[in-house]
Amino acid sequence: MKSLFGWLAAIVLGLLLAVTACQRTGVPQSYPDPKHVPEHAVVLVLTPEAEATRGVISALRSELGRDFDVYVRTVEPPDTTVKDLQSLMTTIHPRVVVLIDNPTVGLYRTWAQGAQKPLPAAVILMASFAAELQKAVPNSVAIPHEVPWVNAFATARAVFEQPLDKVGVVHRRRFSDYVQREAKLVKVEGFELVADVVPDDPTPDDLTQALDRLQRQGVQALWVLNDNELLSPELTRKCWLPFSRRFGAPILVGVPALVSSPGSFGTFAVIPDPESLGVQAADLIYDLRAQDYVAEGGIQFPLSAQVFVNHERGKRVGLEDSHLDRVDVLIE
Amino acid sequence: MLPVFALLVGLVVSLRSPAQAEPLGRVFVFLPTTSQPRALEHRLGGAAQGLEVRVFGRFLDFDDAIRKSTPDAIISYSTVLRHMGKRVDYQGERGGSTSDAVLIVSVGDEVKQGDLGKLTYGAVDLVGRTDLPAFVAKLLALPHPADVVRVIKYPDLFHLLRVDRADAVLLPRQAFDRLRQGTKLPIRTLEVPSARLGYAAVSFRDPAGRARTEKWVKALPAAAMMELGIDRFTSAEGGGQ
Repeated sequence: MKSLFGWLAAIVLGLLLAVTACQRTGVPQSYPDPKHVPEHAVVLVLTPEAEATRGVISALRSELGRDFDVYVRTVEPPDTTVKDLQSLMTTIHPRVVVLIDNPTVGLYRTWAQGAQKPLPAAVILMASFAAELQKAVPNSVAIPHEVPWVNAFATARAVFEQPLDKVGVVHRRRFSDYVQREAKLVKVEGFELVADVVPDDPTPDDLTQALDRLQRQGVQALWVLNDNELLSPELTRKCWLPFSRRFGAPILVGVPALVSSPGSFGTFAVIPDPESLGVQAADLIYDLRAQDYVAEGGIQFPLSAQVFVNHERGKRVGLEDSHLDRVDVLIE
Repeated sequence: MLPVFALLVGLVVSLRSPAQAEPLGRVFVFLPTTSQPRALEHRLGGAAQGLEVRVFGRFLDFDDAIRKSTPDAIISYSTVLRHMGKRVDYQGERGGSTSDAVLIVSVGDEVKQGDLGKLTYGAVDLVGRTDLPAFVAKLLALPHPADVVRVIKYPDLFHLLRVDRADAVLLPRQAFDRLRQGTKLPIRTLEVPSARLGYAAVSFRDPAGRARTEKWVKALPAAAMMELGIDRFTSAEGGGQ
């Protein structure tokens, strides 16, 4: 009996220590009790389980926590179904739903088609093609996950502190309108955007020739569009990587993996700053509350940028260590 | 054997966690500058003398942490400390002045003094979402709370101007001088006498907190002072360090 007590006591003590340690390390409580009766209007955050979302969710929780009950639920379509979402919505009755990432938006859109009106207000975050998505989600607003080019370029110019006024970009024909819109916006900072178009289904030769033409035109940096077709493994291997070795100027990208992962080629990545994005989304939610949860605005630019720099590649194109305090994440 | 193993597992997990020995004192800092908060934390922490020095990037986190952890000393702009109802025990100085001009920065047409009440301002959130419109109004001597778009970092203010999200932004001259180097926007500035931001200052929680942290404040190296945007701290009771 005595040894049984010793055994139990040790296990309990061991577990207590482990649990206390976990609390101290701040493991996020992603699953608040849905049976809790909320004191305030409910904000439901639907998100994939991903490291990149943590800063956004943490800022949302702290900024909204005094005035809203914030619930965070992990959704992983297709494992999470419309029926699951229906059950969640009828249990929690949110006034605002924050939708993080494209699959989450897709799931919600399907649910919304058969849901009883009025629908909660929806805030779309961290999704590609957010402008198009937002139009398809009723009563919604969106913050696209792309930093306006003018802000990306100006941020790069401040970090590199070297002539960076003429920026090249290769794009597929279908993105021509988008590129032209951005080209107008960058002029306010004195940037000249040199665009070279390739077919919608480009071959490695098409891309290599376009990149070489830009280099011959003397561009001082290259901006890489977040276009999966242009960033296919084949084009990366046959075009981007060889070009990056002979270019000799910063390659600016909108995806951190393109400066950090093995086999990547970017020098400088800029994305919406997660914490600022959370604050901006919180302000949008306060605005929605003031409008009785009717979404009037469509799209809002992200107001802040987070900068990633590949240190080794940065040094090769003239980045000085004295400017590193302007970099958020340095990839060694 | 099993009880010993279970106990060991618990101890190992506990020891591997970031539980620290109790610090000799705690200093919390909220001081948005043009640098990253981690750069400031690095400078201040390097001279910490056994103190825990935490730098916050957002006012709300700073405010929450003060309520929960009651630090021995806090450092922020003196204007912010006073807004929070805190006493200023040490005031930072730069070039003999205790405050910096806050510039009204716009692009294109000049902002007219008479229009200040009609504009949307971009501002770094120094006092929290709810208080910020009145805080800005007080700075600009406006009769009513200002229309404000808030950000959490000074460099973001230029983002607002580039995408036309604000008519003007508010920048302390020190931050403006640094950030203007990275932009080719056709910038205009306007200065109004009321718009001043007190430089970094220290507020001790109580005499015991002062005893634990004052020596550190007085011994801060020049590099840390520079990161705080000041040349030196002066005791509010008179006499510099």
